Formats: sequence, structure tokens, C-alpha cells
Amino acid sequence: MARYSFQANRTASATLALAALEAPATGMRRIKLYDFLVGSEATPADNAFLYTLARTTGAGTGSAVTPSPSDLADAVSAALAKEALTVNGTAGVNLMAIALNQRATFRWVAAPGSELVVPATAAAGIDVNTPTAGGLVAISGTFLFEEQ
Amino acid sequence: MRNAGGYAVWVAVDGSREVDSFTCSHCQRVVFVPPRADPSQLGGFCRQCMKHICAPCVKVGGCKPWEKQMAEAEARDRMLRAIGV
Repeated sequence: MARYSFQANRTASATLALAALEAPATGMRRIKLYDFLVGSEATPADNAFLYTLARTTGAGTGSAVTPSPSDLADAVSAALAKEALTVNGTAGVNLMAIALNQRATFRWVAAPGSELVVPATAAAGIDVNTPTAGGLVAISGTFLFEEQ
Repeated sequence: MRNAGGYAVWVAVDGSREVDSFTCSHCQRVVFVPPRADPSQLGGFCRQCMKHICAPCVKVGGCKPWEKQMAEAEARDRMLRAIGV
């Protein structure tokens, strides 16, 4: 099981996702999101944010990011990572909601066996949204996942 | 929380806040567990899959673990591929 990480950045948007992690149309494998951090690198200010992680069933459109393998001997990831989406994937169940001040950062780490798992079906994935974006400032996230 | 399924940290200007979490066995929703939280407010425990589940899944009832739902979705995807849809 190879492990990968990627970073996503965008100017916050209440409608468009910060990042997406999706299974490709072919050659997909299960994706297990086990660790992520989100926050803002903008000049500190008191703005309210709500970050949500939602399952998606259709592919979104965004800038492709190449996940970096934790072990350089591992092959390139099959999963597709995207940042600064211009079209969100088809939204499904909300998996997590995190209320966060712009001055704060948030990290979640899953214990083994409690990762957020994306099935190996075409275009299934997870979007990271900010439905409440108090300030349209730069936000970023780092995501670690493994493929099975 | 004993055998927590995860760990969340908020780091703010006035300090940090840390809580355990568990991942719902049925829908994978992540539930944060504050210290001394009332277990009945957080969800429940499925005695069929013997795992923690979130409050909405408690209301739904039954037991359909996420692993089983994924297996079904993947089987459906393979079948659709096989028939060229």
C-alpha cells in the first residue's frame, strides 16, 4: 500500500472546492485519506470558515496536482488530485465539518482502520469545500492518503 | 475515548484544542468526541458490526457497513464496464 501526499491552494470560495481527491475513470484503486491539515496563509484576520469534506460521485474540474509518494520507490499514484476547482464533483454525503477561524489551523489524523475510504469506482472521490468563507483569502491544505 | 478512530487538533492564537474522533462504520461520517461527552449524544454502537456509528445512522437502523457498500459499488462498476456501459 503506497502512501502519497499533495498540497492544494486556492482563494477561498463559498461555492467552489479547495481540493478534490478522486478515483480515475480507469485503473482505479481504493483511496484512503488518513491525514489532512487546512488553514490560511493570508494576513491574519478574524474571518469565519467552515470546511467540509464531502463524498463525490462525479469528477470535478480543477488544476491537477501530482501527489508525491512518501516512499520514492513507489509508483505514481492512480488517484487524481485537484486544487482550486472550477467545477465541483457531484456532491454526496458530508463526512466532516470543521468550523475554523482564519487565524487557526486544523489537522485530523485517522487511526489505522478509520480512514476515509473512496471506493475503486470511476470518478468517486472526496471534495474539500468551504461553504462558509468569511474572507476571500488564500487557503491551503495538505492531504495524505494511501492507495490499496 | 478508548480506541479512538482518529485525532483532531485545532491550533489557534489562544491555544490549541484536541479531541478524539471516530469514523462511523456505516457512512464514514467523522464524529468528534469532546472530553466527558455524553455518549448518547454522539451516536451509538452497532452490535452487528461491533463498531461505533453516528447519530443519523442510529436513526436509520440496520447494519450496512461502509466496506459492504463499497464492495457493492465496485461490483456494480465492474459489471457496467463488462457490458460496456
